[in-house]
Formats: sequence, C-alpha cells, structure tokens
Amino acid sequence: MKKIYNLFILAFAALVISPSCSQLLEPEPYGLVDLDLVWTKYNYTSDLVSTIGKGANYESGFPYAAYSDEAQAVVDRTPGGYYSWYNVDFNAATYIFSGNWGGIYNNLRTIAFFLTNENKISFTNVTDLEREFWDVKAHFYRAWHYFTLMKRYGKGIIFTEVYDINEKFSGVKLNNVEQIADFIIQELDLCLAATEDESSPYTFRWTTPSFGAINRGFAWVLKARTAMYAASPLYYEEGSKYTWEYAYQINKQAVEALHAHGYKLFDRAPEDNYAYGVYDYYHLFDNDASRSIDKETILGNGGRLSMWSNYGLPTTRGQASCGICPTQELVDCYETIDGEPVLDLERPYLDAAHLQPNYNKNNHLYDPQNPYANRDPRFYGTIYYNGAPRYWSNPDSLRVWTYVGGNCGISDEPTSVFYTRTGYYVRKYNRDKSSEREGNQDGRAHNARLAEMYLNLAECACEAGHLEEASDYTSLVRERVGMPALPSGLTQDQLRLRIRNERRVEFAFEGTFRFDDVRRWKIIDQTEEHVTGMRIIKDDATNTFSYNRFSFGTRTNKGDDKYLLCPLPEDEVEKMKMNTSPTDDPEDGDDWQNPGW
Amino acid sequence: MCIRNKITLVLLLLAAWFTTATAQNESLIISLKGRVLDEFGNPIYNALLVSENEANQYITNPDGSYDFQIRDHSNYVTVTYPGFHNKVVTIGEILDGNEDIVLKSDAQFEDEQVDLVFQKMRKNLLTGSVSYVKSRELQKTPTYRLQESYMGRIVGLGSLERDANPSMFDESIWWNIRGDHSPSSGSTPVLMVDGIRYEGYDGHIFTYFNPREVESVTVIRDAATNALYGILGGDGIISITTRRGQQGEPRITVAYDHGWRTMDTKRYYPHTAYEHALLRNESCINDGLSPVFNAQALEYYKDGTWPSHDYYNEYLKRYQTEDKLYLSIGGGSEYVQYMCNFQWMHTGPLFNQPEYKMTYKMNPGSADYFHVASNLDSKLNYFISATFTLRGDFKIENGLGSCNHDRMRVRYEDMIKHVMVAAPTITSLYAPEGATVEGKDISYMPLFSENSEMGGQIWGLGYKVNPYAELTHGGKTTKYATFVHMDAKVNLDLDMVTPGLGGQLGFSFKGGGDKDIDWTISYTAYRANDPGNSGFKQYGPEWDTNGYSKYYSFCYSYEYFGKVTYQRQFGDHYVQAVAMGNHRELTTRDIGGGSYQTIPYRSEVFGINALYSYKDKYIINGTLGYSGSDEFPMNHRFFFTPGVGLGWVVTKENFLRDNGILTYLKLRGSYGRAARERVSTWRFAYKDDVTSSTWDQGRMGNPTLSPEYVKGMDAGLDLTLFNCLSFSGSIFKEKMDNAYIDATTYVPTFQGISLGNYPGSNTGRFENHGYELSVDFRKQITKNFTLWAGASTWYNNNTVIAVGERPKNTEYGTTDAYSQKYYTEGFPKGTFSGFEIDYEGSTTGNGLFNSQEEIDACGVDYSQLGTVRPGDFRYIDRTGDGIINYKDAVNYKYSTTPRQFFNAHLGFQLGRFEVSALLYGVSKYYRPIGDAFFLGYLNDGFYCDLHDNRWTAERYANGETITGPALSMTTTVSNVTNMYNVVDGTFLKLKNVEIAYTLPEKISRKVYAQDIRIALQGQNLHTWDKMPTKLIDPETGYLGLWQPMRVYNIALNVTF
Repeated sequence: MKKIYNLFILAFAALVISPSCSQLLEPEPYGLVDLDLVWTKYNYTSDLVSTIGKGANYESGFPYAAYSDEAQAVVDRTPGGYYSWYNVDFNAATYIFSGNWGGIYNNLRTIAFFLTNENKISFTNVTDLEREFWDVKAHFYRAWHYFTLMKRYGKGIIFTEVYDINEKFSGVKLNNVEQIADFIIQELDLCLAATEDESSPYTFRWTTPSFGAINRGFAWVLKARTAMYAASPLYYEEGSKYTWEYAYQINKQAVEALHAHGYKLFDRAPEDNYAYGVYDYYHLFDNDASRSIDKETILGNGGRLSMWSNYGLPTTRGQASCGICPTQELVDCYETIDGEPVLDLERPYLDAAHLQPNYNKNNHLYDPQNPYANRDPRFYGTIYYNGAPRYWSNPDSLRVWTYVGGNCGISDEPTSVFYTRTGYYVRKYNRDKSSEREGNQDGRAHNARLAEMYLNLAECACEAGHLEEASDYTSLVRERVGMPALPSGLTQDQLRLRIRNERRVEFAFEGTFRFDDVRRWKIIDQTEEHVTGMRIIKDDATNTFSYNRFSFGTRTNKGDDKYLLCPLPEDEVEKMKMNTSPTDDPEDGDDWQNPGW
Repeated sequence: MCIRNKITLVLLLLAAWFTTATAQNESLIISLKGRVLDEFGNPIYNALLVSENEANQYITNPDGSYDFQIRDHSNYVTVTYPGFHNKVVTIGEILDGNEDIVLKSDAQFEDEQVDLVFQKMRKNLLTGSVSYVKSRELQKTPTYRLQESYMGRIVGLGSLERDANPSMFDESIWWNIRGDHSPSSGSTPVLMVDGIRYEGYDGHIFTYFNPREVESVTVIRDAATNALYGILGGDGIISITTRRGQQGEPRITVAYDHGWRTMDTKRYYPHTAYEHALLRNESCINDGLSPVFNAQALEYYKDGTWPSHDYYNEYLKRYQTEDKLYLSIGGGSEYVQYMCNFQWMHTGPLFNQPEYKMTYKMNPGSADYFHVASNLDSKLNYFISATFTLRGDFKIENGLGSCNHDRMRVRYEDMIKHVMVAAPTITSLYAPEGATVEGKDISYMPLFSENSEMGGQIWGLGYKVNPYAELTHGGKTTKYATFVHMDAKVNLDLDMVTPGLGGQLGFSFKGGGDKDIDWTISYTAYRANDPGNSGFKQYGPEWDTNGYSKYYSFCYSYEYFGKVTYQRQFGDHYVQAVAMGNHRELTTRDIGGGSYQTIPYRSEVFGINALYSYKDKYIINGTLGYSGSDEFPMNHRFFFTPGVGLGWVVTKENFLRDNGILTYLKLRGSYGRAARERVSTWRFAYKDDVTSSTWDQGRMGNPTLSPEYVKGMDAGLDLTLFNCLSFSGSIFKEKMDNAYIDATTYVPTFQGISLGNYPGSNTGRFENHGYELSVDFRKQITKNFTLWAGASTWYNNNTVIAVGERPKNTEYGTTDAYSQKYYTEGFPKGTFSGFEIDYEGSTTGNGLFNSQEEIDACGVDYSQLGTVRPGDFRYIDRTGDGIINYKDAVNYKYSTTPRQFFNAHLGFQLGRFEVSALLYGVSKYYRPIGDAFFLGYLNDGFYCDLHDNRWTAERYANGETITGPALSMTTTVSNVTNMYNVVDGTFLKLKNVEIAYTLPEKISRKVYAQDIRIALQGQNLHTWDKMPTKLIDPETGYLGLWQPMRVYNIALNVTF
C-alpha cells in the first residue's frame, strides 16, 4: 500500500512541477508565420524581395499637372483634392502630398530588414548573381525612396537597421539634404558596382527592357537628378558639396555613360499619319522592350494611359471626363516656329492676374488674333486648341472647337466634367484613333528619358557657367523636333530662362517635373497664384473669333514659401517633439516640421 | 502535452487502485437524539451536525431535532449554523443527558466557512478582504438571471445594469471590484463556479441557476489573496459555490414564482399630437424654416379630427410575465449524497401584437428555459470519494425577424427606439381597411413615408422603423441554445499518511452551441400620396419573398485540476495549506471569421497557500502563485505571484477576552501581487503575424510582452460591539508599473511598421486606491423578534500615471493651444472631455445666447462646430484663441465608471413574518445621455420632459426658467458633448423588498411539508436620481436602450 501512496504523490508532484517542460503552452503554428522563416526557402526570400519596391511611387502618373500651373482641373469647384488645393483647405494633417511619409518608411524598413538579415539565408538553390541582384534591388529602391523624401520634405531619417520594437526614439536625428544625397549616391554606386553580366537575367544590366524594370541607366538618372536637386536653390545650403559645378560633373558623367551604352534621342518620323511629328510620335510609341527603335526611354512606366476617356474630348464617345485642362500660361510658352518666344520670358505678363501678356518684341510671327498658327511643333502634339484637327489622317473631317458653343466648347458649369474649363484639352499621349470602338491605343508615360538628362545637364552647365555646353544640349532637344538651335551669345540669365522654358515645353504633363521645378527654383510666387484660360467667342456673321483671356481667380496663398516643401504629418512631429524632449516640456524637443506649418 | 500525459498516468494508477481497494470495516454505531436551540430556546432548523471524523452528518428538522448516528469512531460532534458560534460537543456529554445543544449567536460570523475557490477558510482566519453573500439573501431577488440576485448585495462588488435588453443575459451587467486596475482593456472580475472558471459564453449556464441551488457568492478583493490565482486574480474574483447533497432524509423543495416585469419606472409619456405639432413647428422656426404643420393641421389635431397616438404604450406590453418552477431533491447516506435540481422558466411576450391579418404568431421576448443540474458525492472506500456534477441547459427564445446571431440584441434595441420615436402625430402605421392600390387590396399593409412629413399630417414612418411592420410583417427568429457542464473529481482522504492531508484530482468539461433560425419576409411597402386622403401608392419595389437563414456557433472548454490540502490543529497551533494546479483550454464561440479567436486559449495556474495561526489569535498567511498563459511569449509565460497576510485577533488576548463591550476585534493586512492576462486585444500579441504569400510584415509582435502586475496593499479591521454591532473596513492601494499600453501614442511612423500593426508595450503606469466600509447590526431582541440592519460604502479612485501621452501645447492664445496639457495621464481611466458652458458670461446665467445681438457681440468663432442660433449654448473659449473647437474641451471630474458605491439593508423577523429591504446606489459617476434626443430632432421629432425648460424667445422674454437649448430640426452647436448632456449619474435605488410569511407547522404538516413559505418580492422599486429626464435610468444612462426592469413577484417555496 505504501508504494501506491508514493506513486500517487510522485505523480501529483510531477503535475505540479510540469511547467518545467520546455514548450509548455506553446501554441501550434495555426498559420501565424514568423518572419525568421523567410530565410529558409528560396521561394520565401524571393517573395520578400519582390515586395521591395512594390510601394515605390515614381510619380509619373498624369494628374500632377493640375496641381501646378500646367493645367486647371475640371473638378475645380466641387469638393475634393483639387478644390482643396486651389482653396488651401488643408493643413499639415491633411496636406495633399504628405500621405506617403509612412508608406515610404514602411518600404525602407523592409529593405533594412532584408539587407541586415539576408546573411541568415540557409538555402543553397540560388546563384551568387541572383543574390547580388537582390542586394542591388534593395539598395536601388532605398535610393529611390530617399530621393522622394529629399524632394518632398527636404529632410528624412536615414536608418540601415530596423528599430527594435521597444525603441524609444529619443536619440533620432533628422538628416539634411546633403546627407541624404550622399546616402543616395552611395547606394547607387553600390548598385553600379555590381557585376555586369548581360547574359544573366538577374544582374543589374544596361540592356534591361526599358519598360518596367530598374536598370543601370536609371541608376545614373537618379544619381544625376539627386545632384541637380541638391544643388537647386530650394535644397542647397551654404557649405554643401552639392554645388552646381558638382551637379554638372555628375550629370556629365551620367550623360556620357548613357551615350556609351547606345542611348540617343528618339528620331523616327511618324508613318501613316500616326502622329503630328516626332515628339508626339515618341509619346505614342509602343513599348519597345528591345530598344531597337526607342533608344531614348531609360525607364518607362508600362501601363497605357487612358487619355481618350479620362482626359478626353466631348466628341469622343465614351469620354468619362476631360480631366485636366491646359492653361493659357502653358500655351504661351510654345515659341513660334522661328525659335522666338511669344512672350518676354523675363516678364511674361504685365499684371499679376496674367491677363495682359507682355509680348516678346522680337517675335514677328505671332498673331494674337490667330494665336495657334506657326507654333513649335510640340504644341500641336500636346494640346487640342480651338480649330485643332481631330484626326491627322484627315484634318478637315473633324475639328475641335472650343469656342463658346462649339462642339468642344468651353464651359463654366461647376459640375460639368466633360467640357474644358480653359479652352484647351490635352493631346499628348492621345492617339486620335483611340476610342470605344478601336480600343485604347494611347501612349505610355515615361519615368526617365534621355531628353531629361540633356536638359538637366544643360541646367547644371548653365548655372555652373558652362554656357556653351548648356546651349548645345538644349539645342539637341530642340533640333529633334525641328526647332532652331538657341541663338548664340545669350547671357547666363537669358540662357537660364530659355532652358527653363524648354523644360516646361518638353516635359508638359510628364510626371511631376513642373510641380518640382517651380519649387526647386523657388518661383511659386510667380506661377502658383494665377492661371488663366482662353474664352473664344465666335462671330457667326463674319466667321471670326475673338480671344479673351480670363482668370480663375486666386489660388489662395500658393505663392507662400511654406508650400515649397510638404509638411510632415502633424502627429509625427508632435511625437518626435515629445520623444526628443529632454524635459517634460514638449516644446524643448526638436521641431521637425517644415517652415510655415 | 506533457501535462496531459502525467494526468493520464495518475488517473490510470488510480483506476488500478480502485479495483484492489478493500471495503471499509463495519464499526460501532452510536445513536444521538436531541435538539439544537438558540439562546432564547427557539429551535434551529437546518443546523449542521458533523462528526469529528467528518464521515457522519445530520441536518436538524424544523423543530430543531436531530437523530444522529455516529459510525466513524468520533469522540465529538461539531454543530454549526450561520450567525452562531460553532459548538463542539463530546458524545459523552450528549449521552449524559445534555441532548439540547444551545448555540451562541455570533454577529461577526467568525466561525463561518468562507469559500476561497480552492479551499474554505474560517472567517476568523482571513487576512485579506473577502466578502460574500449566502443563498438565503439571493432568493429574495425575483429574477430569471442569477447575476441580478447578488447585484448590490456584496460589499466591494460594484455593478450596473448597463442595458436591460431582453436578449442579453450574461453581458449586460457591468461588474467591478475595486474599480479599474489597469489602463488597458477591461477590468471585469474573473468568475469561478465551484472552482472552475466560467467565461464569456460559459456565462449562459450559470445565468439560469436558481438562487436556491447556490450556496454562496464570494468576492475576493485584495491582491495578496488573489495572488494564489495568478493570472486570474488581477481584477478580483467572484466565486460561486453550488449546494450539494447532504446526509439525511431526502429533502424535496418545490418553488414556484410568478412575476411581472415592467419598464414603467421610466415609462415614456408622450405629448399629445397637438402639443407635438407645436413643438415641431417651434423647432422649424428656430432653424429659420417654415413650420411643418399649418394652421389647419394644428386645428385638426387640437379638435381631434386627426387622431393622437401613443405608440409606445400601444405596442410595448406594460407587463411581461415570468414563471418559474423549480424542483430539487437532495439527501443521501454516509456513502452517497445527491442533489438534483430542475427548473423550467417561461417569459411572456414583450410586445402587443396587432391582430389584423396576422398569419403567424411570433411573440418576441417569449422564451422557455430548461435547466437540469445534479451532483453526486460518493464515498468509494475509506479514503477515496468521488464527486460528479452534471448540468444541462436548453433555451428556446423567440425574437424579431432578421435577428441572425448577435443581432437579436440590436433588433430589440431598434424596437424600443422605434416605439419611442414614432411621433403622436402619425395618423396611422398601416393602411385602413379597404384601402386599395391599382385595384389591389392593401388593408392593414404597413405604411412608410419618404419625407415623413406631408403637409402637416403624417402617414407611416421612415422605412424600416415602423413597429407595426416589424411585428406583423417582419418575420421571426428562433434561437436555440444548449449548454452542458460536467465535472468529476476524485477526493483522497490521506489521513493515513498524516492526519489532515487530502488530495483531489478532477476534470471538467463545458460545451455549448447556439442555433438561430431566422425567417425573414419581405413585403411591398406603401405610402399615402396625399395628406388626409385615402389615396395610396406603392413605395419601392414589389416584394413578396420568404427568406430563411441559420446560424451556428459553439464553444467548449475543459480543465484538469488537482490539489493537495492539509489542515490540522495541534493544540494551540493550527495549520492549513493547499497546493493546487489547474490546466485549462477554452475554445470561444466562433464569431464568424475571426481566425485566431477559435484557437483554444490555454492557461495554467499553480499555487501554494499556507496559513498558520496560534490560538486563533495570530495569523500568518503566505501565498505563492505560479501561473502561465499562451498569451505570453515563452520567456514571460510563467511567472510568480507572491502574497503575504497577517492577522491579529485582539479580542482573543487575555486583557480583552470575554469583555461584553468589544466582543471582537481583528486587525489584518496583506501585500501581494496579482496579474492580468488579457492585456492586449490581439491574440498572441507577442508573435509576428506575417503573411507568407507576400511577406507583408503585417501585425508585429512584441516578444517581451508580459502580464500586467497589480501590486496591492490591503489593510483592515473587523470589530464587533456588544455582539450585535459589527464594523468592517479595508483600505487598499494598488500600483502597476508594467501596464500594457498602445505604443502608437509615442511611436512615430518613420520606423516603418504601420501603426495599426505596431504592438503595445508594458511601459504604462497606473495607481489605484480606495476603501470599503461596512456596519452591520443584528440582534435577536426577543424570542420572536430579530432585527438587522446594515450599510456599507466602497470607493475607488485610480490614476493613469503614464501611457505615453503626448503633452499638448497649453500656451493659451496661440492657435494650436489645447485646454489641457494632458487628457489621459493624471486622470482616472475612462475620463472624457467636453465643452464648458459659459453660465457666468451669459446674460441671465442660463448659459445660452439669448439674442442674435449677443452672438454678434461675443467675438468668438463657432464655425468649426456649426452655426450659432439664439438659444444655443455659449461655450468658454478655454484656449483663448477666439475659436471654439475640440481643443477647448476640458476633462470631466468623473467618468462612466462610478467611484463610490453604497448599499444598505434593513430587515426584521417577527414570528413567522420576515421583512427585508435592500438599497443600492452609486455616485461620482457621469453619463453622457445622448445627443439626438435632447434636441428633439430625431425622426419626426421626439419631445419629452427634457424639453420642458427649453429656450424660446418667448419664454426668455417672460423670464421663465430656462435650462436647455432651443429645439432644432438638425444637429446644432449645442449637440457636442458638454456639461448639459453629460449628467451626474448618482442614484440610490430601492433595489429589493421582500415580505415573507412562513406557514405554521401544523398547516404544512397537512400537506406533509416541513416548511411552506410565501413571499412577495419587488425589485428596482424606486430610484432617486439626478437625471434631467424621467425616461432614463442612470444605470443605462442612455435613452435608446432598455431600461432596468421593475419586477413584482409572488414566490411560493415548499420543502418536504
């Protein structure tokens, strides 16, 4: 009997001390996956790598134009993003471009997590080249994200290791433009130093198909852009190594590297009335993955734009909206065919509201009563104006009439989204055959192309005093469309104005170039407050038109310097004030906010 | 896994042992006969006699007599009865002729055994704060929910019936012991029934217990006592023990209750249609709109041409009936004791159902409940006994249509709102007899209105809020719920190892399921197309469909447990100890979809408690809990919760012994640590939740997550004067240094994890303190007259010390200034803020703008709130920036968690009559009463006593008392949370009254009964409160809810 008691007591003791069992109460996996698993299988790691860059926003989408002086949105009087923008109905918390502060860092964390942990990879069915490519991808997108931060916020936090979950963030410091630019260039140099093996599908190649995937050319573009932005008035701080000369050097290297690998401006004339000229043909030219014809595109965005519908003409069946309407200011930028600006670039308007143009006295071709004749060929490929032919194959079959009461007539009905607000429609990227019946044959946006590199180089060269070279590169872009070269002997100031005007014309409706440029150059006080349109009245008796410029009123306060940079999210600033405050008083903490917010 | 194997091993060993165990020897039988009496010579019925060796027991008869046979070689018998000192009588004494045993009354109940979940302890030995209530008190409350029976009865257990929705049984009562214990979620005490945890859906089963089945309900409040329960103890414990069979003749109890439940304590009183129309017009004029009702319509309402309705009273039944039949039989021999309970309960319908053209009867609110519970204790041999418990519940409940699953509650809530907001001006909710549309007969079809008002007269209501339609055309839902509980325990009497040693091993299983069958019908709606005209037209599409859907859910949990107990008196030294272990798995109700919710929650609790007392005078109690939960990572999963308690019974010292004034005095104190388990709302919050298809980082885990530790100090004293007036008091102080807080208050986004996926951390700090005081008087004054009365109050006050809140800029006058630097830290948990009304700044001190000139002159911008009208509130611009916005709001002093509670009870027994009353109240408690109601703009207008003192230009000009804002047709600047619509919820309730009469024995004998008792009971009979309207009970504090019911009940209780 005694034995049995002992057994019982032993068994009971075992029950009581059982927590010593090592995995006690450990739940079964139930589908919860631990991040450490990612390094155990090729498929897992490659899936993780494929998420890197997933959130990268190249900002090449179309609607940014209406946030600058390129266009007025057709939905400018009903509540929404544009309405808020034009009426400054926002604050740091609701600012229209600050939505991605968190998103960018979310990607940066994934990248840091990958780069610091990839040494844990335990599978072997991966080639060294592929592993190297994974690194390149991570470094490249890190550079891209920091470029976006630098551009939008003028600051950022560089981190290469993920923060611990119990981090208190008290020692975190903001990095300035120079530090970020250095970091970007360091990351890109790492990418460019990678093994170059054109035969492997995994290396960071020059010959990567130009649409969709990162390549060495684009790394050079990003490097050149970074240097140019960092040298621009908005971002340059006294003592920074990013002087115009330094930017010029980097841009020069970039252009040379691109030339060395066969990049050149697109120069094929359109066949069969496909387009008006080489410029708009380029923008309609289909995805040329092999770069056999299109040697200009460095990185394309891939998807077709639906211009015919989302930014279409009322005469097109299936038009959903006319989207954004080119401003009179943009139209005024197109020179006449002889190479003379229409307005005096120094002081284009005599009044603040842009209603009285200050015509260039040297221009003898421009006729205010027939304003759309004899203009830069890019004008005809970019804008539908009053009387523009709808179809290149048969110009007289249908014309776009934007006069009051015309078939595409200007409208000021606040809720109408089909008719132009300004008297113009966007033509760039729109193939005239695109329609409900023929399908979408519109063009694709480009993230980077050689012409940009020329104009970037030209700008840096001009600012650094290499005037001749600046003029030459600008002229390359002009010559491609048949415009005369810039006249020789321009002063630096004159040349600067010509180059800036050239950027505006060449990159109309492309990405965020204009939006960024006016901020980089700190000229929003001249550009953001007023935009105008052209109301054209037809006199039926004489069959003539009268042209009346009109203003959209003030886009409130847009000239204020606070709009140069995006505000940081309000919460973020308050949290960091508190986290970095040495005392209980949050006002002692570092103020991370941008000026004016 | 390993623990299960060990238990299996133990059980196998035991099974093998059973088969070889030998039968107990027959022994000498001593027969004892006599009576148990009180000091006045009254017989004591139900006194318990237990033999020394505890094998033999006897319960006295109504005449106090016993006929007790001792078979276990005992030398003495202990006689116990609540309220009296235990008496130990040697068998020799009784045999010598002292067969009448007289018990001495004990106002302190020091010999009463108090349930501490895993052990029982004499009240005298307690060093912590524990309070309890016994079955007899619970039976006074007429209710079909057991929980209600102890609301307000237990010192230190706060409760509020936040919603009396008829579909809510376990969720509607808010429970709280010593306030909040942490800034993180919840503070609901853990509920244990016979040592087995009941949680969530499990609660259904104990809801239907009859109070007569319950032995006691105990509330354990202090951290040191709760330390034994580890992760279960952080918010305090409510422990319920059920009655078990006792040795003796079978005792049969039959009880029948018939009750009437009504909400009429706050019964809605509507205005007449004419009055309503005037108020509606006034609202329009206030808003600058043209009046809804024209002069003609007003005339018609006034002279009765158009009818005035009271839909609330037309559709809501005044009384809901409730019937309850309870049967129990209990008894047993030395070897087997049993107790079986059966209960059938029926509630009647809640709504008056219109008879017209009804094709089916749905009776929403009516339900039948069946409850069976039986337990069996059997002695298998001289050292092994086994106990079994089996309970089963079954419910069939009728609800409104479209009630699938959890919507039952929502639909009842909708209905109470619908009958309330159906304006008296609505002419009819259905088409009159003979009405047609395009030749089709539509008599009695529900009517709806699009813009509910049509030139003055209204037909129908907004779509889907027509109570007539709900009750005649809305379909029905039937809910079936089942629940089963079973447990088996093997008890070992290990006296042969060492006297006083015992052990127990057990297993329990609980499981249940729900099935809802929902019949939804759709019907074509109609509306009147011309006021006062019988022309009707179809509204919306033609519908004529029958839908059917069903819903299932289930849950189950099981526990293994074991304990070793030791209890022995060595002369002056007494030792009592328990070592326990418990493993639990719970699968919660599958609330559709929630993936991880269905993974069983697993936890283990181990603990040792040891008590030593010297001469019942000096007491030392030590506890070491060791518990773990799968809610925490491996390295923090198991943790210790120590506790220590000291007690000194001063009156047992020689210098105070047996003095007649201070009959009892005990000083006690304890210090310990308890823990809280469900700190995060995330399941497995320590783990990353990564999706492997894309490796999205998803929700991140905090690998250092740990349970929250409540470190609590408790000190108290219990004293009795003249053996009739007792006093008990405790003070407590709690501190938490590792409260779980939402890290996103300080974590910036740039670290890369989206904040919604960022885990919380144990970095918060929290403090709590308070007290409990109670006074009780109980005295048997004459042979036939006993008087008792008592009162208690308890208080808690917590402070959130740190939750990582960002300090706000308080530089008044700047645009981003806030009224306060902190809104959470430094305040009690749950504090909320609202606008201050500027009573001083307003012209007549009414806090309102009395004219447009005043608005223009005030110079403060209200545009962020809306447009100010005369008659709107004037707020204080706390930040001084000239703008009234959310930054001007200031914290209220109190939150929706009351801080102070009171109860008082009073009663007497005069011969066969017994009368008792219970009062319960709370204070330091604020309620936001809801916005849409007090401005009256809801639906077609809702006006009540809240609007009697509203602002109008005329009333202002006449100098009448004005306390409320002007009526409106829509939301206004007065609608924001402010001092007017947040009200003081302080109340005192006459919670319970019972008048009972016990029939003379000679009458009961005629039906062979031992005892027949008839009682009249009432619950929630009256409320004294500060609410601005009689429609709202301060417990719910909100108009759109079911208010706590008043109940009248007749109870008949017969014991055979």
